[in-house]
Amino acid sequence: MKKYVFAFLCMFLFIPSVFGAEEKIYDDADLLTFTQESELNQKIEEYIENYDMDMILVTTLINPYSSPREFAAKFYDSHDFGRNENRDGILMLIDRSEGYNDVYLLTTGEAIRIYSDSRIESILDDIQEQVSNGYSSMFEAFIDSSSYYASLGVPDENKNSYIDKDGNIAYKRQFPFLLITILSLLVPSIIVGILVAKNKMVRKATSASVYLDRGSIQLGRKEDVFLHTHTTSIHIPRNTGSGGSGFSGGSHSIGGHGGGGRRM
Amino acid sequence: MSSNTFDHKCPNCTAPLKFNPHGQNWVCEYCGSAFTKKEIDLYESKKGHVLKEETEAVKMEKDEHGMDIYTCPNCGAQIVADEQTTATFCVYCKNTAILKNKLVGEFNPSYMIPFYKTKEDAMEAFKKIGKGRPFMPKEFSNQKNIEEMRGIYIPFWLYDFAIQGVLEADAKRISSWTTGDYQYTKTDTYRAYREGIMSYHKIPVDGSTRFDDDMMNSIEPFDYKGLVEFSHSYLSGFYAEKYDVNSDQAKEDALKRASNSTAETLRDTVVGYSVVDVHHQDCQVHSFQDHYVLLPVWMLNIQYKGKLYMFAMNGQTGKIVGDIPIDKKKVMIWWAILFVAIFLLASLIWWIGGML
Repeated sequence: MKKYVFAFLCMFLFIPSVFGAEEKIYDDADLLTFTQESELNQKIEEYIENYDMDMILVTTLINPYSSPREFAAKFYDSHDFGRNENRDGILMLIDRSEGYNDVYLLTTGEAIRIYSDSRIESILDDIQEQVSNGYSSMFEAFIDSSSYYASLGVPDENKNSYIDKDGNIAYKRQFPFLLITILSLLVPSIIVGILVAKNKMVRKATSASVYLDRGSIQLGRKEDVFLHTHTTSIHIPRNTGSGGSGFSGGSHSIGGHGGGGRRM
Repeated sequence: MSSNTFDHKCPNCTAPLKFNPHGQNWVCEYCGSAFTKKEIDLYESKKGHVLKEETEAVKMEKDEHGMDIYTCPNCGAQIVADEQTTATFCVYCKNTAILKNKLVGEFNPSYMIPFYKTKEDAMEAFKKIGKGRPFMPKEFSNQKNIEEMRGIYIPFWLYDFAIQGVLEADAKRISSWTTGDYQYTKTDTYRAYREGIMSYHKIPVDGSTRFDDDMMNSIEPFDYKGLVEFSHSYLSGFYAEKYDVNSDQAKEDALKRASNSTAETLRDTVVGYSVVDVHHQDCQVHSFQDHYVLLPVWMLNIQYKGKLYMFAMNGQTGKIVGDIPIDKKKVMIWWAILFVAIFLLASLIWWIGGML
């Protein structure tokens, strides 16, 4: 009987993982309750089904790597996450290794195209709004916000992009039609203009420099009197990263992923 | 003497002598003899009085159009010439008739440049005028379009000036540098004063209203090394005119050019600045001298599609000028071909750029 119960339990625990409903939530920091997890799991499944991209939630108390991004990337790569050829998927990490909520969103494959930098920032904003409501709400906000942007599809700025063989986002060169057209209109006009002007040879002379005896020039006065000086200054705006980042986000040094993060 | 036509006779056969621009000598078209300036002068100083008797022609009267009528010393036919003409041809015997009475006193040129280019040179130059000018209608430079062609000694005034110029300009020196988050731009303003005197030699202004001033400007410059003392001998075989614009009137054009160049010369001494803004300039003539000279010009009248086009060639240097009509169809074809070519080329460069 005990064996039977065990087998029954096994069916519940392992069969789903065999048939695709793999584990999506890795709550190593133990920030979520069992109920919260199952609620989130349901939403994640919906997301995966609707948008054909993977979604992973990770919490950790220990980060052996230099940044939350590196942890997230290593975590994603060491598991069999992602859908389709490019391992499309988005991962949200809450890294509490330094005692803060370092949130990082890691995108892979098609998700890099869909979640542009500005969209990542918006999702992070939505997550940050829920900090006071607890981790479950933060994850929920993440899933909702991510779903919303996935439903909008690839943003205009990335329409012209693709995922290259290394998994990085790349942009297709666009034919500069307008530039080439302007060039093709302008250059022949200049050439033709010069050649047309060649047919006009009769011109009034306004200078007598040919007849000037250079040796005869005597300068009687050559004075440059200083009048005044003035100095103006302009402030040069420097490119500063998005304010409030607790750690360096957006770094693409780890290949094959996109994303961004923030300390909350 | 005061009213005669004048021509050179061959010392060997008394046929008319013609000036030969290529050899700068005189040739007899009948017996083939050639003479230098020295030989001619020597011969004429000896036999001059005989020739003069032979070539004496009385100015008859003015006809109803105010033209002067002369008698050809060669064949006795009438030669009609207007007020400005000083050398022309007898329409019957093709002899050069030099109306010497018009080349005396104030109308006696001090110097001249003889022709160096022949009629054939001018024709050749005109035939080649389409070179480097693809928009010329194909048939334009055809020889048969040359309606008339004359080698004319055109009266010119040459001016020597000593001109004093003053110039005042605001000159700005702009420097720029960056410290921290700020870019600084420093402007130092100076007032530049310049005063200078300079000489111009022989600025030419044509002294005949019959020739387009701009066209005469355009065949410049003449090489004044070729200037010789005026002599009737060089006129044989060519037309010649006398001035109808006096020196005072013509001077203005030369002075304008000299003033422009003086201001420009002074302006060019204001150096080392980013911006130079001239706000005052003035020129004064210190001294000036004029010379009345004859300069050689080939005038070509071109008849093309019912319109007359004028060309002038510097009879000394061979520089030919004139406005050539534009073949609009050729312009459009060129433009279209260039448009397509550049479009394809740019696209190709873009495409190759993508392969790298």
